[in-house]
Amino acid sequence: MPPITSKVPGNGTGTLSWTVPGDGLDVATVYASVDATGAGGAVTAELTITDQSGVVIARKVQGATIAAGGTGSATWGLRLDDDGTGGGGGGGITLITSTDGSITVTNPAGPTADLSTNPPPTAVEYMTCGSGLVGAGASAAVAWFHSAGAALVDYTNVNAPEVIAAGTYAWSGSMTTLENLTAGGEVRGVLAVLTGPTPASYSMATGPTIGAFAFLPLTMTVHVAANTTFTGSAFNDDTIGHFFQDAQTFALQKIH
Amino acid sequence: MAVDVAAGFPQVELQPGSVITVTLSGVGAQITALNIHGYQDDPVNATPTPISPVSGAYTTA
Repeated sequence: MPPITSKVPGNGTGTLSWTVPGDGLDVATVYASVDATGAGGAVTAELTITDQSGVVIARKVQGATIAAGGTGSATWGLRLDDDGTGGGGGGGITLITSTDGSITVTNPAGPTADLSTNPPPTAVEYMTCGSGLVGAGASAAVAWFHSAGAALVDYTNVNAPEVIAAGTYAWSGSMTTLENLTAGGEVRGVLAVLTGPTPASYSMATGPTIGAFAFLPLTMTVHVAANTTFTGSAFNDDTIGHFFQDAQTFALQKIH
Repeated sequence: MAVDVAAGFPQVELQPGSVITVTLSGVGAQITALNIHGYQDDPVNATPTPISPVSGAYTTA
């Protein structure tokens, strides 16, 4: 037999019912025309089914709403996917794990960012640079190693590691010598950005010139391109060799 | 602009006397029409009614 459609006119309220007649009906779809022009807020439609004894046997709420002030419809259909479930498509994100702090989504339709190549500001990586003896009148490039925190640096070349993502970074740390300087002696620590479109920047500390250990604070703030190489070096102009030792926590922070 | 929303219909068997109700949340909204679409049992596949037996004997020409 051809399909049939039963029609129930509106009664001016937000509730309408229909009773399965005596000759039965295998329901395929239920369609409700909705007028929300007088609604005080977004409208959600809910379907409730009771059996012939009045017992509720099913309830199905629409996953999407009809905005106040507008009109629309709500349909329930056999083999029909719910709004917002993705249907047979590719699905959505099911898990985000952050090692750098919380993630807040304020506008799901806004621009996106790949956090693997664009770490968030405030990400910090702690690193150490290798210790070693630098002979009189000589210099040496130090080796860098990851210690803790975010992964901002590629250490494939330990003497010239690369900052992975573009941004503005601040380096802070220090180097020390374990022997007193001789009269007229001088040691220096240099932290430098040497590659990329950004002009080279560095900060340098000069140790005391006589009779003391040298403490060399090294700081640098510079904007760099992706894959920019940086280096650390120890220079010794003293007449004796000096053993340079890195600080325990040399920090690199992405500040913008 | 009209907004049309959709969802799956529960897979249940409805007997005569079952009731389908649609309710809107909030105050001020109303349902202007409710249409229920479906199929009644097909008589072709319905249980056949027994034929009354015929008494007497057939004759051939």
